Amino acid sequence: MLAFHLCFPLFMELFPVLFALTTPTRIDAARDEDEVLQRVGVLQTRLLVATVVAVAVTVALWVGGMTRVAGFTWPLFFPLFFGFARPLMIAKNPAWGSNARHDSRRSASFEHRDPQRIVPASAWLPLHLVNAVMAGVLVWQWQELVTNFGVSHAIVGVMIWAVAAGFCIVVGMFAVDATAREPEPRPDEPNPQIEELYVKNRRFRAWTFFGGTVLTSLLLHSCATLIVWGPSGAVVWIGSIGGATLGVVGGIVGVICDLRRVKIQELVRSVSLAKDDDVR
Amino acid sequence: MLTINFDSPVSLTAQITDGVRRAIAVGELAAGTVLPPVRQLAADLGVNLNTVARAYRALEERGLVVTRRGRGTSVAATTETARPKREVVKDVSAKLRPLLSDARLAGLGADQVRELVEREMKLVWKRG
Repeated sequence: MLAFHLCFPLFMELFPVLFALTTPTRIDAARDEDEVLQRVGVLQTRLLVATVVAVAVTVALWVGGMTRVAGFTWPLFFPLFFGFARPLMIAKNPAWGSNARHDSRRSASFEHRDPQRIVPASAWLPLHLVNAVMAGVLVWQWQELVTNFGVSHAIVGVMIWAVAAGFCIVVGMFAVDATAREPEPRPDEPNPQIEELYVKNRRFRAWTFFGGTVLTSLLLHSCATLIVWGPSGAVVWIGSIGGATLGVVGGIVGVICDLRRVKIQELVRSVSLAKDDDVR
Repeated sequence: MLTINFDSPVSLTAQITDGVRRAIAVGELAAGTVLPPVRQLAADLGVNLNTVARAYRALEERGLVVTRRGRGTSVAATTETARPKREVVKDVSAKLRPLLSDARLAGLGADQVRELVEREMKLVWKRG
């Protein structure tokens, strides 16, 4: 466990630099090679210095005996990734900035992207049913809960479960809706390949967010059930293994979505550049 | 497809309004077609929500679109009936004159310009 307090923050601090350095540099006709390479060099140096500082802070805290504090340096990931790595990735390849303007023109489709067409309301019904059943079981077993934990603990426990389950559904629905609102810039002329990629990507994001919501809800219910009726300590194992698995899968899905987005943006950019060449 | 140019001296709201009007004129947007929500179009074009909302309001004032609560904004008509025809003719003439002057100053002949206008007219009137 102590080693984890060192490994996890170090992994989080090194991830941005590894991700940014492995991002290939794309130089097309619209970009000046010398200018791009110079900017990449500056941003790369800044990222490396910031990473060294972050790692040094974690290691110094660890060596100084403040192992718990060292474990909590992992949020340094956020300034490292969003403040240093992301600008470098965008400098290497403008397609990494999904909402960035590649040139002075920008096009959009007139198609109405309705989230209901991707994940229909009916798909949510089984999840609501599971929540309703769980609520029913808790009401039914209320007396046993009170006997085992006392009134105040039972009330607090049920309230935490209800808030967590409700929060999970609201965030899930919001996330699925947000997939339909993500920017989808087009080239000036309709392109069937780009349209198809956008449809596939939208569907993938919506259904994975939906799946994540369902699995998180089920994990919450399992944990709540184990707390009341399960063997002692079981909830810790199920909760930590299930939560960590969901987190890792979520991270992988996020990276896949980003790579797909970049692929589409690169295509939009190349189609627009090709059209500009035709006009010239 | 709606395209805007960030370097253009024409305001973004006017470009969006003109883009939707053009799409209605050429039949790309038929009567009853639901337009993308303000939030979606603003995200796709990389502009502020208010810019798109203002463009939709301008289109509504012209009678081209209608916004209904819960149903979004849809194409109401494919012709602008709100303005008298004489005013429209005056407006079109006023817009044509500088364009034709530009063409003449650029050295295009009358036949070339006529051909150009006819080609553009075919695009606009192709769907009846």
